[in-house]
Amino acid sequence: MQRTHATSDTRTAFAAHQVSKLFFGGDGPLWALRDMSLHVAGGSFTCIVGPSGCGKSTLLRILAGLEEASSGEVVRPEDDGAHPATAFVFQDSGVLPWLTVLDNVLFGLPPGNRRERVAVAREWLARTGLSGFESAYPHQLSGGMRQRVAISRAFATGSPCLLMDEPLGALDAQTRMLMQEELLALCEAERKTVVFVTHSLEEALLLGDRVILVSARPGRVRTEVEVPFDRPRSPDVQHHAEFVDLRFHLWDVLRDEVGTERAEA
Amino acid sequence: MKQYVERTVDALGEEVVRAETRRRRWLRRRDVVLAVLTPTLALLAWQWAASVDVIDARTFPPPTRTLTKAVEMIGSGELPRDLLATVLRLLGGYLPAAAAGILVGLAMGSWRALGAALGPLFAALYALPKIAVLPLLLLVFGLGDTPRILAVAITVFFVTQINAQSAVRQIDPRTMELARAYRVRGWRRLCLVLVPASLPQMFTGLRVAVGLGVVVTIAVEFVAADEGIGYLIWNSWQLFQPERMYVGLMAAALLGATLTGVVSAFGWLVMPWRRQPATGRPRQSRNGETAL
Ligand SMILES: Nc1ncnc2c1ncn2[C@@H]1O[C@H](COP(=O)(O)OP(=O)(O)OP(=O)(O)O)[C@@H](O)[C@H]1O
Ligand SMILES: [Mg+2]
Repeated sequence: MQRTHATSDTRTAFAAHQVSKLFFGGDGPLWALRDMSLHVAGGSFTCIVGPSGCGKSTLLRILAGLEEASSGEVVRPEDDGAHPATAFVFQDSGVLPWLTVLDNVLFGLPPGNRRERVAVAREWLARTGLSGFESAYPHQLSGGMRQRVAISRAFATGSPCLLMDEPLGALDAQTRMLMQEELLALCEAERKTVVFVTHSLEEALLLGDRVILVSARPGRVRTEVEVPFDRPRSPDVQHHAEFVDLRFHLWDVLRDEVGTERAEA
Repeated sequence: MKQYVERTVDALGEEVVRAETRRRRWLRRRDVVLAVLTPTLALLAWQWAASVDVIDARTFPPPTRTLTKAVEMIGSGELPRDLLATVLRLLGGYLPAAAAGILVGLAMGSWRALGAALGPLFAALYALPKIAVLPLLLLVFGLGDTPRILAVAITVFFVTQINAQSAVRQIDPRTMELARAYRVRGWRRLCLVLVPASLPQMFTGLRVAVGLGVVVTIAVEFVAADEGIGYLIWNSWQLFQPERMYVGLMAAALLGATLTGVVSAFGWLVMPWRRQPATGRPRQSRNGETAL
């Protein structure tokens, strides 16, 4: 069974000790995670990469408390009065089709003074370039704009910790690069604790303080690299020789993992 | 942060908008014309067939005679009286039963134990033809309006309840997870997630229920009633007055179509996110191009 603790020291935001997760799917039980251990320091930006289906989303949902681990220990921050401790950006379906853009952002804000909540929501919509679309419905937006609504909601909560599951995955390459720059600026300005799942090694190295590579299913930490580039960071670091080296190193390991999975399948 | 969206429509944009608006208006008009044309042609054919004796004008009187009869019955107050009696019975059963069906359905969809306790029982009752319980209701409540309104109410209740329940059960689990992740609980969860997510299917139930409600109201009026559209039709058969019977049938058809339309219009009102824009207001892409 999972044991849960509230974060006690200020340096740890999230921690997982020997966390395993068993799913009961159509073709019998399946280990999504096996003895996964991980430590996320407060104020750090941690990127998680790994082959598809290795349990990245599952790990994030366990850290958020949306899913119960089958065994192991989880440490997560507790909600304080004003802000929920964590805000989640989902891999898909992050916006509700029956709410307007503004109401979708308000959805994430705790009930209270309507005028203040609207002001906060509008501010974040403006910062993600969605001013003028407050009363539009999601089906009237492009995929990238919908994703920005989901990101605005997460930031608007004022939560100190953000858990993002491939928030830029559905975007075209150009929008994605612009959003990466924006995220970089937002996160550096806000000093939040971020756990960020992505499939893109470049994105992970550009945004993260640390990149954790998860093994093929059942997922556990395969390798971990510290990203040495200073902040504030600009997208130009991608031309750095060290960046290219790190990227190759990660790809080497990842290729192995994807390979074992293919071989088993 | 950069401002990506410029909301200006240039001349080309205006042009495209006008063309799109014209196209949609033309499509809408064509639909209306077609919808009117088909029944009109059918009635004309009937009129012609009855006048040249292809069909028996005693059992299939030409539409003009039915129309004359209808005007006469409206003038004498007979048709409005019967129509009013039917509408009152129908609404008297429909409105409370639909409200109760939605509430019970939502509750059964939200609380698994309640759904398990009542689901199979309700499914069995749902399958029972409601008109078959009318004798029982007459036995219990006597010959007044109560058993007739109850028969309508029972029909409507089960249809709306079953649709509301399955609407809640079919909500995407990821949507519920989103609510949980953002601490949206209780009343807010009901108003922001459960109800809007179930509205489309709830309205399907409400539309089906209104049609069935008309059927059951007319059917219960066949038996031991002295006013109402059902009584009108039945009595016309007994007195062999085919024109009067056709007036009753037309009134029943129009009533069903009107009420279904009212329910649909209500659905359009409460689900703004499902509306297609009526006029082609352009969406702006990043550099101000018009993207329709
Ligand atoms: N609710 C569930 N029931 C059964 N199996 C599940 C469930 N959720 C996830 N799984 C399984 O657990 C494994 C890990 O899923 P998860 O969504 O965490 O992968 P992922 O690493 O996020 O993949 P991707 O990169 O493609 O999003 C998958 O094999 C999936 O089939
Ligand atoms: Mg995933």
